[in-house]
Amino acid sequence: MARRPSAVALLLAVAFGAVASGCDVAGPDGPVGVRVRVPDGFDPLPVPPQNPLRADRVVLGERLFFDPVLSGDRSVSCGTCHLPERAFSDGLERSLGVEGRVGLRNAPTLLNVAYRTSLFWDGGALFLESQALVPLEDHREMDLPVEDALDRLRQHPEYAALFAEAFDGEGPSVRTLTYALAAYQRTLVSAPTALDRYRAGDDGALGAEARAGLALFQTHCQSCHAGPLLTSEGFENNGAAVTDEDPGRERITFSTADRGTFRVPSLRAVARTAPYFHDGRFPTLEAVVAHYDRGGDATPGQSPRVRPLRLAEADRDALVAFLETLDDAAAPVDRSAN
Amino acid sequence: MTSRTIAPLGALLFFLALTGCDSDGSSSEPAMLRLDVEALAGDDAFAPGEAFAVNGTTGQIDRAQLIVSGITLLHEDGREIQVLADDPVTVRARDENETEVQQTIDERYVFVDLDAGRAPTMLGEVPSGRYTGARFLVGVDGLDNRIAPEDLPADHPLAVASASAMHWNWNAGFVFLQLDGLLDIDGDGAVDASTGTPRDPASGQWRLHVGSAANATTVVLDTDFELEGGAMQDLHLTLDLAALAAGLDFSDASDRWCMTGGCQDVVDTAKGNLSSAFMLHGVHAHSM
Repeated sequence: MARRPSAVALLLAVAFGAVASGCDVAGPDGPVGVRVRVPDGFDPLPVPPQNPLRADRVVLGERLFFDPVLSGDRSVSCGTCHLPERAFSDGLERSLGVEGRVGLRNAPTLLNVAYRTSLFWDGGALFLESQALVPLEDHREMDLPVEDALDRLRQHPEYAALFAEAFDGEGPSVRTLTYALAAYQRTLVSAPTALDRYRAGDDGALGAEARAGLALFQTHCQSCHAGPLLTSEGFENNGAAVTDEDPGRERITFSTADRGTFRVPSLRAVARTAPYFHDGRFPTLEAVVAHYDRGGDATPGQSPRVRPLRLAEADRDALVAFLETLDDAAAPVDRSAN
Repeated sequence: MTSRTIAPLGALLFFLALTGCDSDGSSSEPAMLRLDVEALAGDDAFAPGEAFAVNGTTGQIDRAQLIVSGITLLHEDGREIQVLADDPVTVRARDENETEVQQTIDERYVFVDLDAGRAPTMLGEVPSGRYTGARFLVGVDGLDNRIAPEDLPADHPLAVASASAMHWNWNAGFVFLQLDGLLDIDGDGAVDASTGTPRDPASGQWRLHVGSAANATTVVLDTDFELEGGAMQDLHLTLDLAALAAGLDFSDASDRWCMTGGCQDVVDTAKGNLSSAFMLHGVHAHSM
């Protein structure tokens, strides 16, 4: 089902003219560019030279993202599993694809996806463009061979012209389809959170309990959830038991040492991305904190960083209170920049 | 020496200059070379979907594809002639530190579609003369295996949209050796149908998909051949698919469905067979 109005509401009803960062630089007669405001402390938005952040590409990518034409039975879109109001996750343990088929994993948030050095819970895709074809063709997700998708777009009354406009005459192709979807997703960046304001010197941005939680977070969590994006971008075995069906990053590296390891997710907007872990096994932040407090499930290969914390109840509550302050929305996007 | 003797000598030198012959008799003109890989099933020609003897049982292969790169011709004068791409392309790649870099692909990649029949691939101009052998890689090595294939022109052998489509979409990198077929698992001499379930003991499905830069395998063929200057020629290789499958253990259903992960022993056996499965059959001339 299409969710486009929600995304438009979220992404276009924003203030323009903010400090630009990581936007493309279009010439006076060139394509209109896009400016994305990123929080202080973030690097400039990464934009590859092959796929500059043009407004026409972003608009096309957004339309494609929310259009079920890209699923085999035209019932689901990318936006079905990545809802703007849930920080582009879907609230399900594991996502549902065409005909209600259950996906392999929990749908991760797409906020700040431009900053990731690899995609998926196991890092199986190295580029945002490369990632786009996986859900498209996966039997459990959209189940549409890319050539069939391109045929649909070529026969569509509007898409052929939109592609030609955004790609200087080139119609729907693997390159243009993946570039457009990636261009849109690159604009999904966190707005500044209470933590950002606190770090910038606003002592009142975090309440007392959240500040206590921050201190605990810095002691027990920050070695993995580091930096402005609150992730090391690494892969860790966090003590959550896995199955042969989904052994984690072992599937990618073919190394048994990586069995049970998954991407360390960003915690930005974490309060809106429940349920948690790669298979959505924990419904609440309280359950996640309890998992780490007991030192995980003692799984083979568990990271030594995951060990019993023996937190008091008040400490666990403080950690949750802190995590809830990370509930940010998407940052402003200006699609008329020159 | 009189002008009467100089004249014929001059004419000879002039002729040699025109024909471009070296002192060893080879032409200084380059040869135009194509790569022609012919699949065999033991002593017979390979035909997709037709049963043949596979490692002590009956099997058939419906899809047999590979990616060849790093083609190097070993000239008898000691030179190693690398066959590179006509038009290098620059795309994104991730280095070992997960940093995005720009990678120029100057390697000549050849997608070999054995089940589609023989279709020689143009390699371009190479020096003429006598060679002592050839060397190539079955696989995609280094940063080329960590690129954004969407950045490639659609007709590049590594492009997602190309006929090859050998890029694993769920995993970065390329499948560079792919065999899909059926096996006789009940011993009645006929191949058994697929149940559609991977690793199902009752399924006759046989899949071997080899990827990862670590599994890229160098093949060296020590066979003399000669390339004639100014002529189009095919470097004719044969690949015996029965020899490629020699020693594979088909008793375990999980080994009959090998996607590289969790079946490295199967991959290692196939890799070990590659050099002996390939033969350099010779060079065949074609009119230009």
